[in-house]
Amino acid sequence: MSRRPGSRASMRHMKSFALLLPLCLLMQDPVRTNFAVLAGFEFSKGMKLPDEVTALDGKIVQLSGFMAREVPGSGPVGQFLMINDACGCNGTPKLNEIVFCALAEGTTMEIKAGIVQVTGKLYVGEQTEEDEVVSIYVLDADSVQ
Amino acid sequence: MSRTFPRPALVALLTCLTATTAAQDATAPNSEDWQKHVERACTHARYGLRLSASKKVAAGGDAAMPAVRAWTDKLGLNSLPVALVEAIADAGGNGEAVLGLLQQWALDRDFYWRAQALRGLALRAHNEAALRAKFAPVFAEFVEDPAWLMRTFARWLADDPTRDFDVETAPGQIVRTVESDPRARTRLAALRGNSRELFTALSDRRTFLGDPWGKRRAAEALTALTALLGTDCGYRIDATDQEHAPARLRLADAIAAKDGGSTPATVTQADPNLTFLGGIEILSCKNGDLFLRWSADGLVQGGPSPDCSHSRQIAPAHWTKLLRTATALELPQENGVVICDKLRLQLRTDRPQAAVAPSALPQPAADWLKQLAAAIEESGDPSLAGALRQRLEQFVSIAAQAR
Repeated sequence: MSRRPGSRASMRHMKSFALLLPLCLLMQDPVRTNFAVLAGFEFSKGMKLPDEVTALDGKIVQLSGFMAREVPGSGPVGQFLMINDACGCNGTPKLNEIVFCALAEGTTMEIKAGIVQVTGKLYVGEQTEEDEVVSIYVLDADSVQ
Repeated sequence: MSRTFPRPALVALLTCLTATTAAQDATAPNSEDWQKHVERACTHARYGLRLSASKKVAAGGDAAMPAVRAWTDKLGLNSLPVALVEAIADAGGNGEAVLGLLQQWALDRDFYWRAQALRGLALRAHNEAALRAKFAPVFAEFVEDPAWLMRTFARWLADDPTRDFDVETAPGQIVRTVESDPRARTRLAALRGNSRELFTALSDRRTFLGDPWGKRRAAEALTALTALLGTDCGYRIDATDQEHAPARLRLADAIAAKDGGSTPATVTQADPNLTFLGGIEILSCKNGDLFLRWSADGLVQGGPSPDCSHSRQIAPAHWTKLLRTATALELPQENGVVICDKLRLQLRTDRPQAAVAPSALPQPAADWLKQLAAAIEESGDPSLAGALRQRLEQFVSIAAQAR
């Protein structure tokens, strides 16, 4: 795990110095994954994540789910959460049941109501802030359909 | 069903958790700034930090509850996030202040997260006979609740045939209706360790407006079955039916070996072989859910659960007119700020779906849905039509209500 949504601009800057890498990434077929894989274990801070999950780190993946805001509100977003269940009544999503998605710098979109399919590069690993885990899955969303 | 079912491992885990946190009550530091932690749990911009603050408040038990009360006194009960209520329900301990809050929240029909509060009471009641007796009237009140999650936690202890229930001290706890919502049946089966009911959920592939709710149900069933049997027998939810057929057979054999009964048969549940043009989904913790979908030729399926058990054919002339009106409607993708209850509407497949918060449904869409209700009633299903009209009331815009 190497980054979080806020560091996307610097990552893109670095990529510009390595033109071959993004070209290679663009040529990758996305790996189809789902929440049964991502959320298929009991997460605890500091644990070794399952191999089938860490194997997705750095891969271009395709994932279906519901878009949600990190904070309730309205209007277009540059970042959003991907979750498996649209109904908040059904319980609080755990950190391994959420993919934190970031759109490209300067891009925003409306939160869509139904199931969406997101494609982009997935980063797997604990991100901490103030000594607390704030995310496990971060995805640079290149396409949301 | 056997009367000697072992309790599921999940419940055993929760027992330990509740007992542990109950013990933590006495040692919770009083020097903590609970107001700060509550505020953080309710308002921090980072989801993960809200979660961790919620757990901290819950671990504080009774010591932290005055700060929670102060918060809700100031900003209202619905300013509490579900994560905080769920954390208190899971790990708030058995102190009087915690129990008092959970009971108050569970009884408040306008509180978004009343089912989570009731779950907190049910977990404690499951573990302690005294608490079971104390909260029995609360469970009895909600066994027929329109919201499936409320009903599930109320029924967990209220109509469990494996329990020696004392109907004299807890009158009204006999549940008269069989649970028909597949989501509730699976959740109840997980709570009670009913492996055969869980097995029937494994092959659910049904969807509603693109939402694979059957697959979620199957995943929940597999998690519970794995805890019960001590193995998943290699079954994978994301595999194809053909791929996981051998694992499914191993699971069926394991269930038969465990309870001594016959090997359960696989029941595959899939969507009907129909194409649906649009639909409406109302998810409400207050009034219960409602699902409706329609085909291009006016077949309407619907009901209070996503399996849509009601089916009616709208008269062709009426349906043609309704479709024409729907084509002319334009809806923003987001209507209002959704916190809990919400409506999802797709008028036609070539239009994006719209999400609507309570009191935010634009008048033209509300009018169209009322016309749909009238058409359903004319087709001979007044109960489905009435349910649609009743659920819509919560979502019709304030401006429209004033007219």
